[in-house]
Amino acid sequence: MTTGMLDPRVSAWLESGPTSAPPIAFEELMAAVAATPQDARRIRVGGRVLPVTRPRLLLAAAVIVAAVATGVYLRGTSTPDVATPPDPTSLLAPFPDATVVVEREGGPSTAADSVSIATLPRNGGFVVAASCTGGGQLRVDHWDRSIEWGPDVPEAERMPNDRLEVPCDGTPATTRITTVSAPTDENELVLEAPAGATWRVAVGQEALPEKPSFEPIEVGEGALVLMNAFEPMMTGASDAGGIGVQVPQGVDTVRALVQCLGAPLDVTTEAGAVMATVQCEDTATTHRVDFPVTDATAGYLGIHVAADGFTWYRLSAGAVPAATAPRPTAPPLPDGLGDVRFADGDDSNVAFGSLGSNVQVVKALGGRPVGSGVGDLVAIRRPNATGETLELWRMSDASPIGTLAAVTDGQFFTAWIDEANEQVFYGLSRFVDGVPTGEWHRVALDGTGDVEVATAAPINEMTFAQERFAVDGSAFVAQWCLPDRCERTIYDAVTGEVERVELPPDPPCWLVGVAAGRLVTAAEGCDGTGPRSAVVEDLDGGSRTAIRDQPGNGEVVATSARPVVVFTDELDETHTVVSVMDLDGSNQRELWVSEHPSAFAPQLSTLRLPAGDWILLAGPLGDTPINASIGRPVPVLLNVVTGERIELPNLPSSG
Amino acid sequence: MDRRLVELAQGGDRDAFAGLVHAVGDRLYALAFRILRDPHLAQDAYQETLLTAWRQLPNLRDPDRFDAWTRQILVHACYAESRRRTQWRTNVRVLELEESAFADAGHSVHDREQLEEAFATLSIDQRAVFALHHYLGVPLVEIASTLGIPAGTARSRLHYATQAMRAAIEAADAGGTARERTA
Repeated sequence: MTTGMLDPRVSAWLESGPTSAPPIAFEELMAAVAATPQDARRIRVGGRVLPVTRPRLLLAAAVIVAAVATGVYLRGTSTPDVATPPDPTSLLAPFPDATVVVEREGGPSTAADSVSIATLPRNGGFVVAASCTGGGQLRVDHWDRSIEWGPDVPEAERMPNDRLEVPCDGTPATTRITTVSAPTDENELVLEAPAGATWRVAVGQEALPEKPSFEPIEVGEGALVLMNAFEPMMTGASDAGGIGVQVPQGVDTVRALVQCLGAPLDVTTEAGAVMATVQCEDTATTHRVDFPVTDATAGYLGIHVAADGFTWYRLSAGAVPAATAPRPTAPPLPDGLGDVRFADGDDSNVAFGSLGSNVQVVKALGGRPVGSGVGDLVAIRRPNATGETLELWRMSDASPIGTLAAVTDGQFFTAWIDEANEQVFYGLSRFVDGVPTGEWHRVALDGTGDVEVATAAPINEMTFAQERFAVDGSAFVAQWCLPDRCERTIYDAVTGEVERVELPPDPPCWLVGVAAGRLVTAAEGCDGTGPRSAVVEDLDGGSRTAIRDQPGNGEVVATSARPVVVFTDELDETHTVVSVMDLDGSNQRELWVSEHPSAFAPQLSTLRLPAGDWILLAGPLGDTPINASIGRPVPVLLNVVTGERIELPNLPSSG
Repeated sequence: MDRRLVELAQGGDRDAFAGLVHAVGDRLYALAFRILRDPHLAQDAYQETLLTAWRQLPNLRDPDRFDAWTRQILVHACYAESRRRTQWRTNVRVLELEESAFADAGHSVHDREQLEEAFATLSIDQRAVFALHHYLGVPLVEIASTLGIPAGTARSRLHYATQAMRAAIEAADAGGTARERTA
């Protein structure tokens, strides 16, 4: 699993040791999970965090949930101190549909009093009403007693699920409580009365609507998915439920998509401003409520809901990019560079664009491109219920062409498109007979003729594994190393002939590139601390020539005259230098010193440009919500012959 | 990662969550061990991570990020376990490693001691970056995102840690040579 950039002894040391959790750890964990509720899907979860250490885990695992008959039962049997005649009927008057299940009264007492009122079963909807006199404030708290508070959680941070605050001036107060998401029947109502207060409290139960099955939510054109809908949730007490979303840069509106069933729903901001009140009469309607992004909500926005009743709801959120602030248009670009297309993604959305445009089409594909696009084609991996598919997409109209391959319980990690020979080389990792295995395949663009080109196993013992497709389209090369040997596979892209070469166990740092039957590798000093050299060798492992003796990132690039190697090196803490040389190490020259620390410098892009002398230095090019443009340098086209530079402000960057 | 399993677990399905634990648990435990170098602390970090993940799963925005998300929780759990460890590490030293992994090198035990000592001098931040990058192969940019630090900081931590481990192996080499001369 190590990256092959370490001294093998350090790698061996790092690899040694356990690779699987002890079975008892799993058993204890799952016992604790069985006794632990999930946090409600709410934004306000303060004070409910339950730090768990091993001793507490064991305690939690030992919790035995008593089989309590469902139904509310009263706490205590003693006769309360009655100072005022109870009048629960009037307390519950605002809830005509509620069935009274608990009535209690008490006080005045000489000291503050804590009284357990009732224990509520889960999957219920309850109304609580209380009044008191005598000054001060009374509270009725709803506690989930299945939560075991750790000793290091301060008392002040132990917050109840719901709280009803009642001024002791005779004015009744009411609230609604739901135990739909409660994991157990241990939902206790506790009354906290101030000294000298005389109080009454009544609890009623209302029938809940059946949990609905809502229609799928479509975020819709023009909005990018920020949060997908989860299971339906239910509104409860006075504090609103809701979701919180991260707001990407360049988004001026967050669109809430609301489905609901029950009482009308107020959709509000975190501060309580009502953005819309939506009717909740069927499961097929999706309401769209737009939240303008302000300075206060830039970066994070809360979407809350509240209802005067029990209402099932489901929320999704989408980002609507600012329409008023388009990126600058591209400068004139030579040699057809403006038409070079790319696809870039973030596992949820994929952006399709071109170097000469300031507009990108973004689709929520739930996957991401693997490898770079070539011509109009790009390979996109998309997870599904059992594994992944590798699909071929057309970038010009962001449309699918077909499926290249599918894998169960595995992942595609690379794809190289060979447009000239109408084929794709792809890599996947999966378990084969329990052994983690890496495979490289060749498949035709129409998904036929899938051939396994090379196999590497077991992955967890590999000291190196990488592949490259020659910039001149001549060959696909995969190399991997185990501690005792290396193997290189060369697949002739035109004839399909395969050559395998056994090599000594001397893994390179990485493969820089392939061209003209030669392979450039970064070798030695792979840990980044010592001298590193670039070596050019024949593909069959023949003659090796060191062409460089300093560290740096490199890429083999095809130019109009011949293939060259381009390197980027850290010059100092604030500058990065780009240089170029021929494959034999001759004609080395500096092209550009950029004013970027190397960590933030534009990197050599693997995007295949038309034959010519230009290279692209850039970070991610996709304008998707999760790929925020923070820290992205302005993409730059650089001519490796003349040194001319063209900045591309039309593509996302942080400027 | 099976997105459907994550979504089911988000809805409270404990069997689905058990499936997720089977899928990622071993990797998390292995990573925790590489950071903490102690099987008991690693076990605590593993359990705390996955129980936290269970509790907070409903708030996970993107099910496809489950892997990275649990990794993030694990690193912070390791930070917490490391703080606990500092209270007693002066008295207790646990180095439970598999000897077989070192059986192929004559000076391996010496290497191991040097590497363990070198690793022990690193801060928990540096250890985390080192293990994430060199053990799991996580790119630096993703590590920076996981830990909420600038990419440059992640890079410098990795650089420092790598340098320390390289120095350790060089010291082991020097020690081995000295012993051979003595013999």
